Amino acid sequence: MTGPEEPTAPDTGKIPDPEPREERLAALMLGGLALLNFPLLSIFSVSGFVFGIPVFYFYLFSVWSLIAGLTAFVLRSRPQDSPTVKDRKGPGDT
Amino acid sequence: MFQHWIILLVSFGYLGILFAIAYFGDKRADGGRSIISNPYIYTFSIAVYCTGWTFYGSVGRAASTGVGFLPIYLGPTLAATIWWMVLRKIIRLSKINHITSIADFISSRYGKSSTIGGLVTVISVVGIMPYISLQLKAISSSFNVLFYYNSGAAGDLNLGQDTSLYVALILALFSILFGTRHIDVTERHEGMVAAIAFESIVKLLAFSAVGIFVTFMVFDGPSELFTQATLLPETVKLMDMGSMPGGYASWFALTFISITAIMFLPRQFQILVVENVNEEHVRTASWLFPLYLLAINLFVLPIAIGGVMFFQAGSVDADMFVLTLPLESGRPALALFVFIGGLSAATGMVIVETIALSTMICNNLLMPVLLRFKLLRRDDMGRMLLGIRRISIVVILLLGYLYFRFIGESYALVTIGLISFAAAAQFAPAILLGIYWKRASRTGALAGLAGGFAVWAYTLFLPSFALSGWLPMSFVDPGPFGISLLGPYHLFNLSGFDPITHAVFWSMLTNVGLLISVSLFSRQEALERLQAAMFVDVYKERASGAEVGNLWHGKTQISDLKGLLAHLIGPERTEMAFRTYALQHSLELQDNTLANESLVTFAERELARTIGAASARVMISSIVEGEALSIEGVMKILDETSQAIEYSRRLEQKSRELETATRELKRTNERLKEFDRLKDEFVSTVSHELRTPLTSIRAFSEILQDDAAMDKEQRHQLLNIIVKETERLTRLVNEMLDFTKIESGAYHWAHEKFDLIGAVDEAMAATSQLSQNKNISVVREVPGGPVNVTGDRDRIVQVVINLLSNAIKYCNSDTGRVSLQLSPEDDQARLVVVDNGPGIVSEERERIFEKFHQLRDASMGKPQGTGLGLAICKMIIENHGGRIWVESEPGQGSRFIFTLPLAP
Repeated sequence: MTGPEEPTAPDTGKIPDPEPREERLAALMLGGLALLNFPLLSIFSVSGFVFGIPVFYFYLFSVWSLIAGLTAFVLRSRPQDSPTVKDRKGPGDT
Repeated sequence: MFQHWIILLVSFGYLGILFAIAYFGDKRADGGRSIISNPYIYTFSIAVYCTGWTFYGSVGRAASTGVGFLPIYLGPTLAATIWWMVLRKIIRLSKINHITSIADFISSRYGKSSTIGGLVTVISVVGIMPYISLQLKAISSSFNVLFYYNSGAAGDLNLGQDTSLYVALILALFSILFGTRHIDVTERHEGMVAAIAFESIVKLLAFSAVGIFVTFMVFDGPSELFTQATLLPETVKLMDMGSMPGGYASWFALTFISITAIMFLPRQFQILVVENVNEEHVRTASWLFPLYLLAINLFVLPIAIGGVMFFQAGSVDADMFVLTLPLESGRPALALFVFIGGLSAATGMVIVETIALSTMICNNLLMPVLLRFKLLRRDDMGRMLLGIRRISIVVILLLGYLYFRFIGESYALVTIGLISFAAAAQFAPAILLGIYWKRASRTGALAGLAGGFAVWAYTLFLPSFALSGWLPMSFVDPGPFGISLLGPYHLFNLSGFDPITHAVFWSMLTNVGLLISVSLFSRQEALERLQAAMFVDVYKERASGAEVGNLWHGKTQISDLKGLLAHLIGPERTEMAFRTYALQHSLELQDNTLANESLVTFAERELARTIGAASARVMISSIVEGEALSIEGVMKILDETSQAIEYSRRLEQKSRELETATRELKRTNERLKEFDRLKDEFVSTVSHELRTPLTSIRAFSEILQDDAAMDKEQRHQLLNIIVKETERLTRLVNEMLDFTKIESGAYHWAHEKFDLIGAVDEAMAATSQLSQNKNISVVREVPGGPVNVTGDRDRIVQVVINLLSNAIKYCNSDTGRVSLQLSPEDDQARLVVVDNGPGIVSEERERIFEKFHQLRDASMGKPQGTGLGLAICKMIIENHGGRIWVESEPGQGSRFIFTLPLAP
């Protein structure tokens, strides 16, 4: 004998992301904040050059591109992504 | 350097191109083929963030503070990492609610409060005023540089101020043309977005061009440039944190306010949220926009260092290096291109900002006032809105001009901009807490915004008047009335911060502190709680399936709704909107009928697209009679309680269903038990019935076998009995076979038309022997004409025989009377068999047609027959589409009746 049917919980309407995308992005932001602030920043605030560019600038622009690159990587389109909201029509349409 | 007319021609030519793009974009949008529905256009339009401040001011700031210009661009890069969560949620909410501006968004979240909308508008206008003046300053300074450079008249201040007035007026004209051309003022401006994306490309190209020129042509590449820079004390300090005023604290504060500014400056909100076509575009913008920022900042430091080295000892304003370097190197064409780039950056900002601000002034500041004092005439509202917006644009630009004229001259570009950034940061707590924390209340938001704004004004805005001589300098130092505790740059003697960091700290502390603490100690109204729940749970589907916001409860006619909309968005668009609604809900909308809740909500949203949520609500309630908010509606959608209630309701329903199923099962079980009992009885009856004839057959056969001397007559008598008993056996077996065959559906029914009178006669003939044996008379009453029915004649005869023989069987010999009446009635034939037998008690009447059921009769001792006869009759009659039943009382005899449909 099987027991009575399990009552179904109310839907949350949200399909769980197979990848923890939102957590990854949040971690990226926190990591970026740490890399681009005191005290880590002070380590690179020194005189000297990398490829002819001041160390400090080289560091800042590298972290900058790294953040953009990682954001792109985390947000890359995956097959299971389905468009959530359709294109909105122009103002002439209602 | 250049003739006036060349610069003016190029400038106006360029603005003309922008306008042509906008015009083309609008045309395409009207045709339904959007050119801005593209993540790259979206990304470039976000770059309206880079204004004249970026274009000229970054170099100026880099020339004095080194890396000091960078946090303004690193902040947005960090913010972009969480756009996918935060910005997408804001966009989703804004689309659902037809949000027209940041003021509209905040007021919607906090119960569609007009007060909050108005406050946000005031903060925006006052806070952005310095920022607009900065653009005027950038354009007029660059114009003057281009015009007066090396001509010896560069110092003519009056001329410069006149230029900025003209610039302000021309920009006002263009903003009006871009943003308020149409009567149907809705929240989106596709053409403008296209033009902004274009100007973002132009300014990037122009800045990169001058950067490459300085780095690779004036100097020999970056290494060479930086190596030379190490030799000069003014430039060597620009290469690390050393020259950053305020140090790391300031760095952090600037990063923080630019994280908020990228989303909550009114123009950024306009572009990122209101003008967004598809929230999927956020995916690309999240990484591409930081790269755009990186590209436009790549050459800032080389140009700054190059400029400092090129023009020794600060003889030239560092803000204008991008122009003066090419001019000094004899590249006027490049300078002109750079000028266009700067013009692009500044005009783009001014156009979007004034459109966003004018929408806010109109929807969130003036409309509520006009509505409250009933100053609105219904008949030409669309035109009136347009007029308000146009005037607002002019007023905003003139305010910007005045700020520039009276205050701006004393500041560098960047410092002015940061004042505006700090103002925009005041919106962050109300929005971010608002979309993640339901308890954030209207009063809390009001207190937070007002408190933060007041602190901002005191610590940044008022001191700017003091620094320009409009307030006594003692206001800043030591402080008002000489109280140093109140000094706006060192409030409560908090020192060690630069003015911006100081102001950001105090204003954010006040803002967040008040928002949270007041929210925790205030009660939210129904609408407020509803909006809060909707904003926080936008991704959650409602368990009850109730459409969010379907709350209008009062009554209004559809024609009234249409009339209201027509005044604001024009009759054609109103008709179209209502038709679309009718199609979507497959409804017929009659003008003089009452509108249902969902239609009123729909109309409110359509209105909100034009005049904002708060004003739309007021307008709709002006024509909806009766109670505007249905309490059940509010309760239905309110936070978790409703979900818990829904959950338990479902549980209850499930358990009720279970109970019903259990009862059903019990009943079925009892019936099955009864059947089982009946079957046992039947088997014993049948075996008994079979054994009786078999016993007599066997007994008589043995007598015949043993007694050879029996006389002929006696032998004949015995054989007769044996034959009779055999017939009885055969009948029994046949009946059982018939029954099982019919019941299993294997019987093949004949389908022919026949006269029931003939069938009755045949049945009476078949039972005549039986009636004669008991000396019972059978009376037959039939109509004169034929009674035709369609079906299986033999089976119907069987039914009649069965009923007659039953009647005869239960009647007493000699006194028994049986009659048979056949009559056509309407469209059916009715046959009644009446006897004067013992009758049937009521509980048995129901069951005698059940299979295996036999009448128990005390006087008879044991049941007679198989218990199948009437069950077979019932099956046959019902198979012919008829009905069979019995009417009887104990002692009164019985009437067995069946009906059959007449043949057509």
